[in-house]
Amino acid sequence: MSRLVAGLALLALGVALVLWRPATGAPLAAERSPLYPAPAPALRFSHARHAALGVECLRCHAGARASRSAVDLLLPTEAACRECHRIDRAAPTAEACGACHRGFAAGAPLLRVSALPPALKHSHAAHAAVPCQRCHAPAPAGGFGDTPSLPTMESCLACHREPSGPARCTECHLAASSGRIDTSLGFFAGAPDRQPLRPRRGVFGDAHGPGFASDHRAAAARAERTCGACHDDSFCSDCHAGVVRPLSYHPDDYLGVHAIEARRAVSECSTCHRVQSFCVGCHERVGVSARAAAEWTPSRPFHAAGWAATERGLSQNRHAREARRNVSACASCHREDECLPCHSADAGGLSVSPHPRSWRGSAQCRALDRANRRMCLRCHVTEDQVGCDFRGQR
Amino acid sequence: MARSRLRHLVVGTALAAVALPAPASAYEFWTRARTIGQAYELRGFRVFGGELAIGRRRLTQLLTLTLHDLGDLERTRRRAGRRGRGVVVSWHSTLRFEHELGTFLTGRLAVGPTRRQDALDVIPELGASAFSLALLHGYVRVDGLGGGRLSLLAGRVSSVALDGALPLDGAQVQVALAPGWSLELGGGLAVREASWLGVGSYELDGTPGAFCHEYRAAADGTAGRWRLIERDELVTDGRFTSDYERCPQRQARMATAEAALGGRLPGRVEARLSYRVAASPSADSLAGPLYPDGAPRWGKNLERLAATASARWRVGPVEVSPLVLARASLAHGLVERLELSAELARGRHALEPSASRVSPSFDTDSIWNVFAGEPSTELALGYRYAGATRAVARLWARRYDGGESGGATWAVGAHAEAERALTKRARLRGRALVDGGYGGERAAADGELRWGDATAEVAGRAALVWARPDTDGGLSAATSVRASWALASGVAVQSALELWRDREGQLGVRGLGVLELTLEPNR
Repeated sequence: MSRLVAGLALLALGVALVLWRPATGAPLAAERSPLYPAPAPALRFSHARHAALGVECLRCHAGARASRSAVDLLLPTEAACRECHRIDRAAPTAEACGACHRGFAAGAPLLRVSALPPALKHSHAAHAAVPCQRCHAPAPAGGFGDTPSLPTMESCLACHREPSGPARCTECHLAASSGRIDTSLGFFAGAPDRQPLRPRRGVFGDAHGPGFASDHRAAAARAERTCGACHDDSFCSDCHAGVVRPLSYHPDDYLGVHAIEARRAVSECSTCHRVQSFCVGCHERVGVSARAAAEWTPSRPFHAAGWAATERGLSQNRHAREARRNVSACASCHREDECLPCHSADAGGLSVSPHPRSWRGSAQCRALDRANRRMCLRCHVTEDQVGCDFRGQR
Repeated sequence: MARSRLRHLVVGTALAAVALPAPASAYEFWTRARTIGQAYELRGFRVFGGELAIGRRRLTQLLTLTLHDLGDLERTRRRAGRRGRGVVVSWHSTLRFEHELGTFLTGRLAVGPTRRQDALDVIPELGASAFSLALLHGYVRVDGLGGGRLSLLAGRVSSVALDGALPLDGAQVQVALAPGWSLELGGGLAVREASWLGVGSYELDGTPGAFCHEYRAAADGTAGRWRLIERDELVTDGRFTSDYERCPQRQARMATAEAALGGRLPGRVEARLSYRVAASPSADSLAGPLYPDGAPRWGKNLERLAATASARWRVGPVEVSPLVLARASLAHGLVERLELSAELARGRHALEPSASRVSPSFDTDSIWNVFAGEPSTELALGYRYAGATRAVARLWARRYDGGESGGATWAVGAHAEAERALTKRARLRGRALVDGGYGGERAAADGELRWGDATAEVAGRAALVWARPDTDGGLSAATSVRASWALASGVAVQSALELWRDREGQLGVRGLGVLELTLEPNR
């Protein structure tokens, strides 16, 4: 246990080290960016200071009111700045130019403003009656490229809700030929850093952060229909069909250590490996199975002595505890018929009841008896032995 | 009219209808062919005889096809300037072909000091890996019916209920009710491993539960009969001897019906209630020792009721997203899963506490349902950070009730993962985990460095795993390299090579290659 505590402490220390960064780290605006990695801002600019001076949005973003497409470039050019600011290109100085251009050095190429068009269908013209700040939230201390001033999907949904709102995601997002959202649009030529479209702070609780690929059960339950807006059925079966062992989920040497997870059932093996033959076929072939223990590895039995006593009255039946805890692990080698010689109510067997003590007359017994008596007849071989009041159990 | 003549007439008419000249249509379609080749070695645990390493060479091919706007209904509306909602017909399918080419199947086994036999004869289960052709899903979808309120899916569809995606040969209807509410109904035959082009659904029920028989020759080798498989008896090659298994109960058609109702409640709450029932007739045509007095005609294989509710609230500066999930098996008379979780997010930080309780259950044909199983309860606390570094950490504790085993026991563990961009193209990712308690102890750490742009990516990774499943603990080390390259639009290759040294000092190797071809002509 002390080793475990030490391990947990090391783990916590590792996380702290990874998350810690010195105060002189990346600029705040970069940390807030929805793009990952965040683009470096090219200009120093404050929307807040211009707003305080009474400059209206449309004075700089003149084309915004008439724009009907999200790909329209609405950023102001240098000409818009010249209307108020004196810019002398003939005499560039670090003091004058560097006031706006980050990292300015005479003779060196300037950092370019990178503003990729959003992969959306949007018309500013259709929203002309809406104040700019309603969607582009004011950013008091922000600079240029201050991405929180960009609208999020939540801010769209604040107005566009059913029944008048969009019925399909592709009414705003661009669609692929499959009719679903085209998530590959991040790979536009000239935008190598841009990632495929994915929920970042999921509106539906489906944020795709690290670890999401291996733990998305709750999100899938919460947003079952939303997943289908981007992913088709084959996207799920690529992993859940159990064809490929993904390194991100089953780490290196997983074959050597998978028994621990399988026994504990921390991850549900059956979400991907859905038939018993997947386990049994492999275990028998490599020699880790009931028959292998008997015929192939006499000097190295898989289970310890006293695992399954074959005579009544022996107290050393260590397999019972394991079976109660997770009989699925037993099923990776054993089949039902290996339980029957001891646990069947047939007179020829040992008639050791596998039922819990409170089984007879219980609601669970009655429910199963009602649902499917075939299963009862596997051990209770005659009709008179069947039923939840049968007293023949030992 | 004789039945055979009628059948010929129907088939002939159908063929003629297909062959008739039809107007050419240029459908929007998307198709993907994915070929996966894998090669790795399994360690043989036999002490004497036979090979120590068993080679697996697996070839898998997947073909996905989506045809959008069949009949050009949407396109016609668009051309006519009618952009309103209307009927859209589409087709969605994925076909999978699998083959095993390694010694995993073809080798001969030493079944005694002097005796060797084909592995496939000794272990019939290996046949499941030899070859398979499966239709994972394939259905026609009609959207926009009833003024946009109704969608219809017909064919091999995925289940709508909450307990996992189970395929169904049948139909589903999705109806939009009041704003934010929808009703989904489905019915048909559950797809089982024995279904036509079937893929195995959850069938962890023990082979006799499926009432499996094998054909065995008589002593003189001239005649045989079907009888229950005797696993301890080795099959001898012979003209009338077969390992072909016949599992009538698993092949029985399982009629399934399901319904789900979901929608928005006041207070930004979303809820969903789903129900599924499946039943199959008893396969007692081979009546024998199992059902001497005859089996009941039908049995319910499952009957489940599931509910989930989630919300998204803002409490001061904190966004709170709770989730409640409950699944009850009416056939078993128990609550199989109960889960409560929440996400508390503020800025870049989020906490995710959760609690769940699970009781094991199987298809009701399995006798393991009546064994004394122990439920388990898990408490977990997760943390997520989404800044320049992205990180998750999770601490969990699981309690096994103990019950008749006497005394509850605990298992605890934790894992953490972080990723950070080093440059525009390079990223570093690290993970660590510690598991303890029931099942064995395990500690592992790995680091991965990735470099790439939009067309190519190379990643190198190194891992250390310490494990002690029972008594023989040890350290294993592994390293892997993988690369992916988008050769052209819609053409990509991926490859991975993994080397490891296991706890007993043996070297292992695994290779993986994927060729992906995507065709989307209208893009």
